[in-house]
Amino acid sequence: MQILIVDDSELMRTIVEQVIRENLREAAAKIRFYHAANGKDAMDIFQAEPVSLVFLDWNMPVLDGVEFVREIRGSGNKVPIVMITSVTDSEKILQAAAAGVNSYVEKPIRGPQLWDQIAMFFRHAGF
Amino acid sequence: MLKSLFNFRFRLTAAIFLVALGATVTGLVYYYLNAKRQIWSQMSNRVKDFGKIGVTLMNADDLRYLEKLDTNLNDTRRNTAPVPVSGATLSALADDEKIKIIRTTPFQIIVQKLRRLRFASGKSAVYESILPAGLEATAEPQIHRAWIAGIKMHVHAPNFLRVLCADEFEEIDRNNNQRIDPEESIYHIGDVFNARGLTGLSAALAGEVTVGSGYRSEHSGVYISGYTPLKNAKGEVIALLVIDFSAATEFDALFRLKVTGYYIIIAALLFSIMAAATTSRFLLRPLEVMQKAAVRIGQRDFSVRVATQSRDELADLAFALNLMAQELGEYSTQMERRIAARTSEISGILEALEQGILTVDNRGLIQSEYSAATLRIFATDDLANRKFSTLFENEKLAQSVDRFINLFFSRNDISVQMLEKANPLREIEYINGAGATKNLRFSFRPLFAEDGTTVGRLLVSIVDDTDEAKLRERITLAETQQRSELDTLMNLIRIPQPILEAFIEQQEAYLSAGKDLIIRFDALDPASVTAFAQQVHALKGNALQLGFDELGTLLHRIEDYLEVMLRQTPYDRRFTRHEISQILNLSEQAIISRETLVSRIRHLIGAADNSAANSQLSRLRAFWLSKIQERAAIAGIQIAPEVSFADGSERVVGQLHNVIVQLLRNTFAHGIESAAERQSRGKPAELSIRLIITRAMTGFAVTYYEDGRGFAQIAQGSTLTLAELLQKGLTGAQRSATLEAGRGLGMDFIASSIQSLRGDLRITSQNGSTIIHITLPD
Repeated sequence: MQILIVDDSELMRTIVEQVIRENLREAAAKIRFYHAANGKDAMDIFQAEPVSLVFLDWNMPVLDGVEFVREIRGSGNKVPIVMITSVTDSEKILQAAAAGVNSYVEKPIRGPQLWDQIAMFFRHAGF
Repeated sequence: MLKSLFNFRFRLTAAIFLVALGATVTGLVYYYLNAKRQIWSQMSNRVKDFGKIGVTLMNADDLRYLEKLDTNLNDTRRNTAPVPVSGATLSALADDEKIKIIRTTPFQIIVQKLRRLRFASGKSAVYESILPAGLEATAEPQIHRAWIAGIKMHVHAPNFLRVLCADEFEEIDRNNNQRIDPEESIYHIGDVFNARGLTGLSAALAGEVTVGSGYRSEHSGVYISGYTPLKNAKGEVIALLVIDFSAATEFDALFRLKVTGYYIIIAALLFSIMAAATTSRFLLRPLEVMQKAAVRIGQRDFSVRVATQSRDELADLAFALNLMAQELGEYSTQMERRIAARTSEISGILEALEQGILTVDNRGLIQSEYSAATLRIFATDDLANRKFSTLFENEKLAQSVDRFINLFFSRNDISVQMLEKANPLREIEYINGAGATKNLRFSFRPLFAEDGTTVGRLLVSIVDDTDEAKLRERITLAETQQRSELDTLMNLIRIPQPILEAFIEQQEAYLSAGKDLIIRFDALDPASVTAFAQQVHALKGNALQLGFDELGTLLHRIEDYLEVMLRQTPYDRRFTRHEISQILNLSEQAIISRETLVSRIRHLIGAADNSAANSQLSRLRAFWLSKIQERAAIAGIQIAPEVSFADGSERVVGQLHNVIVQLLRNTFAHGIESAAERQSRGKPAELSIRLIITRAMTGFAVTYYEDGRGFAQIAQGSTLTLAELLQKGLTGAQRSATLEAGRGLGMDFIASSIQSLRGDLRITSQNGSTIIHITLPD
């Protein structure tokens, strides 16, 4: 399983990876984590690797989260995408959902809350 | 269904047809074979009988002659010719030899006997040429040819017989067809006859009377041959009597039987087809009726019944069908009733629900079922078939709502949390059709279609949060202003803050004045005692009005001591000092306790007038109106109150607070009359109390009017000025003072208050009513 974490903050990327590693324990060994600091880098990784889950920040330099999602969905890819953001405006979240985001975690993130949100994707993938 | 019925009918018809035809053909074949066997057996017996008769005709001489003839004919010296191939073709003798034998008597006797035998098979047993004309044979004999075959040839060459003697030695028209046919050719003496394959021959040679198979001749029809052995005295077979017997009649009969059989089969064929068709039609008609009934039941027409007259299995089936229709009908009715009951239950629930509930389809249209509260929230008569987003006038919001609803129907891979956050109607302020502003919370839940995966409708529930939102707003406001609990409460109960603050100030002033009085107790002058007494009295009125009964009682006791103090001996005054000091301490506890104050204010919340408007002036007005009403309710009298404060008079109301308290105390302590009393004096049943502050040329004019018993100090019809009131001092005090009023301290306090405010006062009493005019400068 390949997980792509996209966030311009390295700390955030580390926290997300840590939450997944702690919750999956030994099973986490089967996962490869890819980090990207912006949408463009993420797109490069995405095109090179068979990514099966994406965690995505909204506001990033070069290519922002929603633009990234639009490009991925535009190419017909249905990979689950979880948005991690401090945006709470319903109109913006509605835009993200319409663009193809599957779930939403509000910043600042807390481990259990994040895990609740993403556990279903792992169950779906057979973990 | 009709097609399958046709197929079934076709198969049934075919089955009936085949059974009928098979039975007919089998019967016919059996009958034919039986008849054939019978006929054949009878004919064989007849042939055998003629054979036996023929044998009995031959005597011992004949037999000896025949044996001798056979021996001669088979003399090896003669028998030089080769074995013939078939038929009696081989002529072994020359014509002269034949004639020589024919002309012998024994031969002629045998010929005659053979002829007799032949003609015995006809109507006449006698040769026709010797019969008289009248007795001529009318029918030809059935024996075609009778001849005797020698067996000696057979000894030399098996399968071959030699003709010894035949019934004719000339060609004759045996079948009377007026010509000589090939089969009417004569059998010559000595001819060799190939008997290969003739059935019955070998048995005949062994001594049995037998019948061979039949054969057909070209012109004379069908014949069968009978072989009868001729035996000598020793019982040895010496020759065979061969009779060719006509079987034409029998064969004709059999042929006719066969033809008839064919006709019968054809007739049976046609009859079977008709019978089968008719039978199947007859059998299937009830089935057809039932099939049509079943189709109608399928179309939910449960009233259909199949009429039955028979008592067979089809009737049972029809009965079962009728029963089914009836039970289905009852079940359907029951279900419909149940559904109707459920529907009305649901309507009831929708009616009773406090929440707004509606459903939206995939086109965004509101469906026809929604709760009654929904209509109240939107203040509209009907919502059905309206596009949900059109409920929102803000175009941008309406678009968001449409996109949000579309998410539910177009996508199933968005988490619930995300959908909740994307809800543009999570918490909105909404102006409904009646113009009322509502705080609404919408939540959306997908209702799945029967397949369990696609979203059929969207359930929208609407919570009207308006009241709670207002409360929250108020609490938030209070918090943001960082008020103390006391301030919050004061704000909530809408008691004018200046009043409470003034009360607290008044208490503090009383305490410090009281302590000062105790210190200077031995050197007190009457003026400062009176001033303190007025202060105590004013506080007492206010405390009692605000519900501080304990403090009011303590202050009343201080008033008692102050009243007698000036007239006391020094010894007694020491005691009085101690008492006042103690009461001051007690009242300090009652006053300083903030918690007590808070709890008192809380007690007042229940009585506060919630409908009071926002401005301080109207709150002051409401406060005084409610105080007047409170006192009237305690006294148990009907009143007609009027309180009116001119704009900008807040300060004046504040300044006159304690004056108004005293005025009201006067009215209610001794101004009350019973309804009967009032009527006897020509006054209306309700006590009129008016407190009116108007703007004057300079400052404000205050008018206090009441039509009760009036003030004790003022005679009816007289007017009292401020100067006159101040002169009176405490001299007019009465001993019978109650906690409420009676000492005249109230009027003193009023007068001194107005004087200190540099105002003026005039009290007029006339026509049973008392009017107090107060003027105050700006």
